[in-house]
Amino acid sequence: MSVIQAAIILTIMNYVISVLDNFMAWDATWRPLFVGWLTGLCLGDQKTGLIMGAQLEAIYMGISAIGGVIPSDPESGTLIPVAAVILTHTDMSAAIALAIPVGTLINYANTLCSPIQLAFLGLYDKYAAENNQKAYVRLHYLYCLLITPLPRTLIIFLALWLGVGNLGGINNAMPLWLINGLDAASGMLVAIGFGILTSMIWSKKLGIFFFVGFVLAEMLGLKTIGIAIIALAIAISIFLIENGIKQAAGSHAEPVKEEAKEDSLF
Amino acid sequence: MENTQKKQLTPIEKKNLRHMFWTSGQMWGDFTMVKMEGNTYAYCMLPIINEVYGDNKELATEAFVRNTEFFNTHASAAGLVMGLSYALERERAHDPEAVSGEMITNIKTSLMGPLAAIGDSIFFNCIRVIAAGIGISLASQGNPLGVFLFVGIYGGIFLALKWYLLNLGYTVGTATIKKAFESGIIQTISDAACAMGLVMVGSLVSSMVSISSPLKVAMGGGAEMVLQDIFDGIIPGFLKLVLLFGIVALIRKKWKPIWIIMLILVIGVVGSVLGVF
Repeated sequence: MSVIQAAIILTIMNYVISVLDNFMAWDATWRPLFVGWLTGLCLGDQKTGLIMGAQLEAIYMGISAIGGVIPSDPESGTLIPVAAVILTHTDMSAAIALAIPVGTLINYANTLCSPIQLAFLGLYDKYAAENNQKAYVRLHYLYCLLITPLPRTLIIFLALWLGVGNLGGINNAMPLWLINGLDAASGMLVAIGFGILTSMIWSKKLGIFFFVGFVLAEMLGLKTIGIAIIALAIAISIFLIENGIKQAAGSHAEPVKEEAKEDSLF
Repeated sequence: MENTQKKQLTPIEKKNLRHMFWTSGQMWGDFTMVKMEGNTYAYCMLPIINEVYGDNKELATEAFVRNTEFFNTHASAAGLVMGLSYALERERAHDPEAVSGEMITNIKTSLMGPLAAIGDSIFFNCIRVIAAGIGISLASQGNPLGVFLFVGIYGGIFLALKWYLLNLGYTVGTATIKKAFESGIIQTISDAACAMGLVMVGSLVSSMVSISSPLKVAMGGGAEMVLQDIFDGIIPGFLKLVLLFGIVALIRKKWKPIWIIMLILVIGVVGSVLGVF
């Protein structure tokens, strides 16, 4: 598969992912796990896509769009490195090290295009003031299908076409000590996402639970599913205990009904 | 989940709630820094506006314009506000004097912040960590089931919770929701979710992070010992913990992730040249 063919296929895939995301808003299908797998599937190397997707998910785990602002775009930060590895046989560790900078660059490029999105925003207010519902809905779908995903799709195409093709040469020029170093670094890089996450949820009260998870995996060698079930049990216990304390403290007779309902969520 | 509601919903109410459920998924479609999710919010509300205001074009237009106002919260937790919004528009249609448009906006705005905080923390720090943890452990062995489980668990809970909150918001009313926020239930849920997230992060640090060193130290008498074995004697995976809490310390010092990445790359390359790794 030539680079230009792959670029066209992946650009279409990227558009499909963008639209899917614009219709679900569920933050699931633009994550590295999904994008890595789909990129691998499109290029005929599912396994590489899955393995890289897993590593990149760990790196991106702590990076989320809080308040709509995200420091590095997980979708392009996965798509481009995975494509580079499969198409040009770039060293996997090097590609993973590049993921976050790539995602940040694509984000900047996307922000530069935001005037396109803002240009038609006034129409919404106009149609609403006229109570012109048909035109409003039409404009909304125009945004979902074209105005929002288009700039990003073009950027991705250019990055794949002009960028990925040239990576192969760089890779061949890398000496062994550099490749070994990047290998060692990529094992440590996944700690960044966990570090961000830990610093966000850490509290003196609950910090010990981090070590519970660590010990379960490191010393007892439990699988992730097993640990997830233990974690769920811990969460339920904490909920019941704290709730019990609050009820015993009295004064909240009414909210009890609410709590029983909320309980069924978890 | 619907059967937990006491109130019987009419077919048109059910249809409108379904419309809100699906169209609220399009909140990122015209997300801009100006209105954020506001423009989609009005689109979600259109059938509601048409239903409750009927022929009263003046009130309908007022509600339409009012609902395009700035709105931003977690996309799943938004269900609660939307359900509540539906109930409030209905009340306003019955008695425009008692329920003013401003009042509805105020209730929406006052819920936005707390819901974004709780939604972000439960989804990003707990549910996503668990779903991704399960997904990663399968995908890193080349098993596509990991991807499907990730999307199924994370996306599935996202949708189920939105549907539940949407119905809850519509049926229970403002007073009950306010009381729930004041009762501290949100803090309790958040604590439980954080503990769950921490357990998962701890286990993932153990299974995903790899760091090893062949460095040896002389023990005297010609005997040598691998440095890492000494550390692992204290607690297995000691180096992983050092690395992780080193990163946490840097983040606390306001280092940007990109600089930490650079630092790790330099450490990796320099270390490999010196034979540390």
